[in-house]
Amino acid sequence: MARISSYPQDNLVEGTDKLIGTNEDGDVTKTYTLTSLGEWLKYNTQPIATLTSADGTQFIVAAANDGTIQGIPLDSVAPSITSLPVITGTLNVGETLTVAPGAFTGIPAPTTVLQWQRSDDGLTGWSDIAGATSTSYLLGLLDEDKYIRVQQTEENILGTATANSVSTGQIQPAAFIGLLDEYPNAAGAYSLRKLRALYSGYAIRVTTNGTDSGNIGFVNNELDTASLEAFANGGNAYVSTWYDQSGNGKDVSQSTFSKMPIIVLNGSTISDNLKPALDFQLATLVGTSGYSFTDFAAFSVLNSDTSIAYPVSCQTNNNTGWRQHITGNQAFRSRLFGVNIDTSNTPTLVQNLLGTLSYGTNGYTYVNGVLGASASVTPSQDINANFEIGGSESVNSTLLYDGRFQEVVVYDSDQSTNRTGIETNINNFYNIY
Amino acid sequence: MYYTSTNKADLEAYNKKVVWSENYDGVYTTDWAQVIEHPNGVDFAMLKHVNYGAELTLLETLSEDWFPGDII
Repeated sequence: MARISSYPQDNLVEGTDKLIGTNEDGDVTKTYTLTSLGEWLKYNTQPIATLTSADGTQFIVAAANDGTIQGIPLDSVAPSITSLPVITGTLNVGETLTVAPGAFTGIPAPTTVLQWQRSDDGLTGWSDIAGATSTSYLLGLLDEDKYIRVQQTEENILGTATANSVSTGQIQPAAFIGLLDEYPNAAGAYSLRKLRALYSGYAIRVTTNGTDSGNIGFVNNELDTASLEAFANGGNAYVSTWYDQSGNGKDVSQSTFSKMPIIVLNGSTISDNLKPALDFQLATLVGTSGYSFTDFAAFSVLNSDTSIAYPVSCQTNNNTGWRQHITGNQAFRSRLFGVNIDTSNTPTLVQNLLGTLSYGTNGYTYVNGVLGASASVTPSQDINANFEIGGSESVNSTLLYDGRFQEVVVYDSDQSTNRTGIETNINNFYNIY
Repeated sequence: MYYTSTNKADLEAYNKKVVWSENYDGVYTTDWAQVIEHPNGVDFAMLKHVNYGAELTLLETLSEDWFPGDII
């Protein structure tokens, strides 16, 4: 048995550090390469603690840098990363990159830490992207023209190993440009298509029976109907939440089962003009209060089966706030601050784009891009009103909308100069008129 | 179809019966239906669940007098 006479006291690295020792007769000096802590134990003359478990297995007592004490196997080795992490994905803002971590060894099993990093030139100045530590990363506006890589760290009690992926190419501008990229700062935006390149959330939360629940997102920037129909499993699916894509977190939801709109009927996604739609059979989705509505604009894509209903509203009573309204004459009305602005167009039984705008002291009702009516109004905030799709329960809890919705986008600012562009964007997607 | 009663609690109990029987998750789905109050302040109604009955008056639909007509 050789006895170690000298060895590096700190940061022993298996396979690298040399142990100088002599044989038992003391007449031969040899250099040993440390290949494991077990070997270090075998040759070391310094006191070291070992523990034996109930089944006879021996463990070395080791101290981590943070003072944690662990019993580790005799064959423990520090981590080593044997292949580089690999990034895949499309290099455009709004796209999601994914990383496959590199292969690694180490006993005890190392802990993997991933950190996405950004650089101006792909060579130097790599800096951590705050919070980007998962296996996927949504490319944001700050990444445009930059380079991205992933730093992989493997750590166990014996040490750490780090490896960097190859840098991506230069990140390009967003390939997808949504309605809210062109016309931003919506107060609330609800759709079954993706409205913003950097929106990474879901479109809807659905349930089949009030017991189960699932979120449905987008594929190629449109509703993931395959996942939706798989969830419905041949039956119906009802929407409990329509997520706000504006970034304001003003989701609209319904927790009463019989008032949830339906989106899958007998296994098939409900649609209007070949695009998915929520069918509000006397359903409502209710959001939050706190909007500051004086100058505002609301754009709704709907197909009404009924007369006398309030498809979209934000009012605490009949004479405050605003709503979009289908009258007993089956005409479309904007009711703004107690004033009716009625069109002669009939919005029922066909897909329509309804626009309600208020700016200055005038209110306007548009149907399919055409001004239907206007009137003088006296704007006043109704900040206690809940935003609702499908009704105006604070005005009348029984006049609920019966028809389909595909999109509702609301701005709490003057959109008169953007109106044509917003309507064109919507119509280009839904092909309404 | 709707159940009606002059006792609002009867309809609330019917809702609880459906909620319990259907095993709603209590988070995203908390109720079966909401009580509808007649403008007369005396009568109440609730949508009937197709699978559950109750010893209450059953109506095919709610007549127009259930709906205020002054703001349509």
